[in-house]
This record gives sequence, C-alpha cells and structure tokens, in this order.
Amino acid sequence: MKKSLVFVTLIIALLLAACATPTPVPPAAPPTAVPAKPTAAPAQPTAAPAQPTKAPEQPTAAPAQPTAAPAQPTATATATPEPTKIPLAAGAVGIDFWSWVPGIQDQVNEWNATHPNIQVNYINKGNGNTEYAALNTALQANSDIPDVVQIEYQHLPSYITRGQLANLVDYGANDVKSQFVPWTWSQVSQGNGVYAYPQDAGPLVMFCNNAILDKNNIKVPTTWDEFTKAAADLHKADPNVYLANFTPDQGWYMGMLWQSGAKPFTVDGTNIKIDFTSPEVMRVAKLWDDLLKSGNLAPIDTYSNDWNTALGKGTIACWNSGAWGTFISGSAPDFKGKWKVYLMPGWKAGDKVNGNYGGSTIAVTKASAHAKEAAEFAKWLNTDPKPLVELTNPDKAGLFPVTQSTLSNKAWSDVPYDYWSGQAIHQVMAEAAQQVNPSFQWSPFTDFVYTTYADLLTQVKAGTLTLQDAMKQLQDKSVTYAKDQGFTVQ
Amino acid sequence: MSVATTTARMPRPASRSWRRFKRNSIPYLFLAPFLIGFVIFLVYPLIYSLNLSLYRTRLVGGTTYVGLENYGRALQDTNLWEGVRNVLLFGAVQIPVMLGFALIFALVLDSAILHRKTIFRLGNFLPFAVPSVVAALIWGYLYGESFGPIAQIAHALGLTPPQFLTSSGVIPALANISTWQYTGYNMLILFAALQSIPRELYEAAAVDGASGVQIALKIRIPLIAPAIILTGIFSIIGTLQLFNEPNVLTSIAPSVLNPHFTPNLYVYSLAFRSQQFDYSAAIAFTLAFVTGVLASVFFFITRQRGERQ
Repeated sequence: MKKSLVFVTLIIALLLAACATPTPVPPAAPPTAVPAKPTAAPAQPTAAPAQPTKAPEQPTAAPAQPTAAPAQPTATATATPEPTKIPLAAGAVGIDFWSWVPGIQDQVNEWNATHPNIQVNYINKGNGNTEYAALNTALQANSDIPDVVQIEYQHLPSYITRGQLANLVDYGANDVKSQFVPWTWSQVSQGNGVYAYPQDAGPLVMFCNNAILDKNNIKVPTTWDEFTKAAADLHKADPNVYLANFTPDQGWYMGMLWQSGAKPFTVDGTNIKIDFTSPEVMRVAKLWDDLLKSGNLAPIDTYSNDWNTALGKGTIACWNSGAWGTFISGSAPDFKGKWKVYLMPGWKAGDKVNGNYGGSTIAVTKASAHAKEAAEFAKWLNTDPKPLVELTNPDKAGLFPVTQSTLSNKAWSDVPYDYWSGQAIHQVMAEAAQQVNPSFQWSPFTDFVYTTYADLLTQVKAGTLTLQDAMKQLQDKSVTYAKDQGFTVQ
Repeated sequence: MSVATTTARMPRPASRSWRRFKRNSIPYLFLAPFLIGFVIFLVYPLIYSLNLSLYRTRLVGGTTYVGLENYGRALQDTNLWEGVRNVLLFGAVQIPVMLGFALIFALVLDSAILHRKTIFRLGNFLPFAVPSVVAALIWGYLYGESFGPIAQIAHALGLTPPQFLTSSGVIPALANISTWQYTGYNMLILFAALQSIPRELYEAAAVDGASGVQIALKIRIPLIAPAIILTGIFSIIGTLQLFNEPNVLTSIAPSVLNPHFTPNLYVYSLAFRSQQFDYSAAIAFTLAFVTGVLASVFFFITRQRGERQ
C-alpha cells in the first residue's frame, strides 16, 4: 500500500516534470510571443487596426565601451543593461538578437526607431564561448533560440553542417556580396549557400614598441628570418627584454598557419581533406619550436596579467595579432607615441600573403520563426552606412571593417593616432586585410581541433613535445575524429 | 451491469478506504514540496541525461540509437582517465592535508586553550564564504609570475620564485586553493561533532590521569570518527567534481590547464562547446559511477577499521 503510494506520487511528479519544458539550463531570454503572421509583408500592416506609426519608446542608450576588442579571447563581457521588453505593436514582428559587441544596443535602437514592424530585442549572452554555451543549450532544448546571433568565423561551419543556420541566399544575400572583402565572403559561404554576414575581422599585423627596438638598434623585422634574428639580438642586447612571446591561443596559431598559406582543411560537403603536415604548416611549427627552444621568447602567455605588466614595463617589444589588438595601448600608457603598426613578417621578402585572427559574423538561425525579417536586420546591420560607420568607429565598438566602402573611407582610414606615433594605422591594417588568403577554410569541428591543439600545447609548453610533432598528432587525431563523425576523409 | 453493481456497493468500502488513504497520504503531502523539487531537478534530468547518453549525433548522418556504445568509448577515452588521474592525484594529497588541519583546528577550538574563539572560528570559516570563482581569481593573482606578491617577495629575497602555474606546479596550486577554502567548512562539521561529546568523559579521563593529547587521541577522535568519515566522503565527491577553480585558472594559464584537466571540465567542454551532449552525458554517468565506487570503498574500509577496534 505504502510502496504503491510512493510510486503513484513519483509517477505524478514525473508527469509534471515531463510537462515542464525540458531545458537543462533555462535561458534567461523571455520568449518572443508575437501573435503576428510571419508571412505578412512587414511594410504593409494593413490588417492591423492600430497602425504602428509611432516608434515605440526606446530604452536609454548603453554607454559605448571603446576598449574591449570584439573577439579578444579574454576580454571581459561588457555589461550592457538589458532593455525592458517593448510591447510590440499589432502586426509587428519580434526578433531576438544575441551579440557581445560593446554598445551595439545603439544600432539596435536605431533600427527599431526606423523599422516599427520589426522590433529587435538585443540580448548580451556573453563573449564567444559563453554565448555558444547558451546557444548550444537553446538549440539542444529547441526553445528560446535567438533569431539573429553573432558567431565567430571558426565556429560557423559547425553550425552550418548541423543545419542550424538559415541560407541567406534565400533572402537576397548575394545582392550585397560585392560590398564585402572577398575572403570574408568566402568564410561565410559553403557551396552555393551563404550562412552569415561578415561583421568584423582581424587581419594579422605586427604591433611594435619602437622605444625598445631603437634603444637596442633592432630593425623592425620584415621576414620571419629577420624576426628570429631580431629576437636573438634583442635578448642578447638586454637580457630582460624580449622581442615577443608565444600566444597560446588556438585562433592565433591558426592565423599563423593561414598567413603561411596553409590549408589545413578542405571541405566539400561530407568530403574533407585534412593537412596539418604540409610544408606551409611545418615551417610555422618549426619557426616557433626554434624560438621557444632558443630562450629568446618571453616565457609569458599572451593575455595573462604578466603579459600586460611586461607590455607596460617595456620588456616585450612586439606582438603579432589581429587588427583589433590595438587595445594593448591600455596596458602600456607610458609608451604613447612609441608604438607602431606594421605588416606581418613574410615567409619570403615581399610576400603578400596574410592570415586572419578573430572577427565575427552575424547569422540567422534556421529555427527562427521570422527568418526573413531577421535576415533583413542582419543585412542592414552589416551593410547600411549608418551602423557601419558607428560600429567601426574606434571610439565606440571599434570593429575592424569588412566592407570595401568602409576600408576605403578616408574618414576611417586616414586618421592619424597619437598613441601609434601619429601613424594612420588603419591604412596598414586595410592593406593587411586585402592580403588575407581567401582559400583558408575551417573544419566543421573546430571545437575538437581547438581542444586537441590546446591539449598538445600543454605538452609543448612543458617541453615534452615539439610543435612539429604536435602537428603530426593533430593530423592523426583530426582524421580519426572526422571519420568518426561520418565524414569521408581524403 | 457492472456499473449498477458498483454504484450499489460503493458507499461503505469507498469511505473506509478513502479515510485510510487520507491517513496514509498525509505524510506524503508534507513530503511533496521536497519530492516534487527532487523529481523535477534531479530525477528527471537524470533520466533525460541517461536517455541522451544512449544516442549518438554525428555531424554527418544525424542521430542514431547506439545503446551503450558511448560508455564503451568513455572507458577507452584517455582524456577522461587522465582527468580522473589528475583529480585523484590532487585528492590523495589535498584531502588528508585539509582534513588533518580541520581536525586540529576543531580540537583546538573545542579545547579550553583558546581565547577569542569567535575570531578563530570566523577566520577559518571565512574562505568558505568566498565564492570559489572569486577565490580562484584571488589565488590566480597571488600566483602570478612577475606581479604576484609571492614572486615579488621571492625576488626581493634573491630567491627563484616557485612556479605555480606550470604543468608540474598547477596541481599543488589548486590543492592549496581548495585546502584554503574548505578547511574551515570541515572544521565546523568536526567541531559540531566534538561539541556533542558528553563532558563527563573528559573529566573521568582527567581523573584517571590522561593528558590532553591522550584525551584527544583516545576519546575525542574515536568518538567523532563518523563525522570524520562523513567529511572524507564529501571531500572525495567534491574532489572528483573539481571544476570552478581549474576553469577560472584556465583563463590565467591557458597553456597549462587543458580542457579535460578534470573530468567535469571535460564534460562541460564536450557538452557546451562541442555540442556532444550525448557523449558528455555518458561521461557524466561514468564519472558518477567512479565517484560512487570510490566513496563506497572509502566508507567500507573506514567502517571495517572502526569495527575492528
């Protein structure tokens, strides 16, 4: 009797639990319950008795934070106050938009004011991996999935392959193809589909503190051979000072491979070619193996507090990074007017091949009930002159532009910066952006590649493995994983 | 037909069984708030995950039922067992040290040696009140190679600073954080147990000529053995689930702590970064099994020893 009663109670409770939405981690976003016809053209809300002529009240604009870099791995999430939910006018469509770009609420407000029928609700779910964790949970639970979402280039293919993103070609993406720097467009394309709009990028450049280099008579290296020699000469001239340090970030290393002309992945549908042992990969691995072994690199990890301190004290002279790396000026205020931006050292003198490190895209999820409207917003955000100028303004979000019009806009490119020795740094960066190798592809399982690389790197840093051997292991493990995931590996 | 007979006979037995039902169900009514929460937040997620762990989603080919294949993979997964080895290594040193300190502090606190007991108790317990994420951040700063105070003091004294955030130093560094954080918590449990020992026992022992140390070793520690075992089991479970501290230190020393440094980190990175919820669930269950086995082994060993005495 008693046992059966317990059983009954359990069953009832289970049923109750089953009725509840099965979300392991309930996302905080309120669901956009909009009783609107998704098919109705947003421009003509004829059926609506109350015409939504008046723009809804706008929440106060979030103060822009100019310091945070867009895709910087350790940047703290900029807290943007979540606006109170605006009640939608009849016939209007609600769009949930996830992004971590500082101050992007301003652009959302601008859109909402001019598009009363498509109201965007901006939510900051945190930077990079924090956002993906929330996104993956929402996708798994199939509830509270955002309509528009920021995704970094390297993770786009895994969402595309899983069929989680809408093909924007259906919503006129190809009409604006010519506005973007070609390599960024190939990054968001797969086959005939286009699955996101490029938002910003991080073409590789080299930041150098000339106060250190000049003092020790070191010339800014233009090739990797010169780079190795400069590292040795500088450390010899002053044992406390180093030319550079190793950046233990996966995206950085992939950028180095990209700059070397390597093609670790060639993906064609379910066929994949993996090549981490090509000469282009191996020369990068050997370069950093030799530098790490020589003791001429600062034994400090990029983005660590020690690294910030070293930049501030002037014991590290250069950093090869994405164009968004200008935030280091905050770590070294004493060296104002000493730093400058250079093109990356080439593998041969006069090489014009570059790589990219960081940057994001804006995608529309397949699960979106308003994909058309969501795609419209995504296109506007990344092609309309107004948000483009605002988002690329270095005093605001400071995104590195990926549209030809902004890159060639004199108001953006020709501005000299006092901190950077009066240099018009954007000219150098724009040149670097045009040189990025367009044939570099990511795998649909970047997470696996990244975690495997991170794992191997701990052994490299412990001195028990060389980067060159790590590449061979990365090759084997990636091939095994790809086969395991059902790909045909060539 | 049957309807008619039932309605005719219904009244008496129904009211009796209804009364019985009412009497029997009252305890469950009081249990209900807990039971409902327990089912929704523990039992149901467990069943959900168990179900999840029996499927396999591939990038090409979609989701298929694979039975126990994920568990087979987990057993052969070097990443998982490396993580388990790391936390066991961590626990083998950290748990005895932490419980040793907790026991000594509790004994000191319970004895009459100490003045200003509140300060001592609060001071030892305070680290437990610091969220573990904050604790890891604080220690991450203290461990810093060039700006951390420990390194600076070592430099000032002309010594080589200890290398905390390296592959060999990181386990002791993590153990130190956990010891700092949880000693006070365990001390409180042991202290509470000590408080429940009748004072007469001490008096009798003192009359018989036992010294303070003898009383501690022969009376107080044996009497609180169940509490010590309890803290031991809690610590074993906590150790195997180590997550926050290494997760925070990962951003400080990314090239030292890999994404599967502890089993829980691995589960997290598989599920929320690689979207491998199915395999991640299988690993979580495997880990739960390992934890259960270890806790039981510890329990039986300590109980047997206790019975022998």
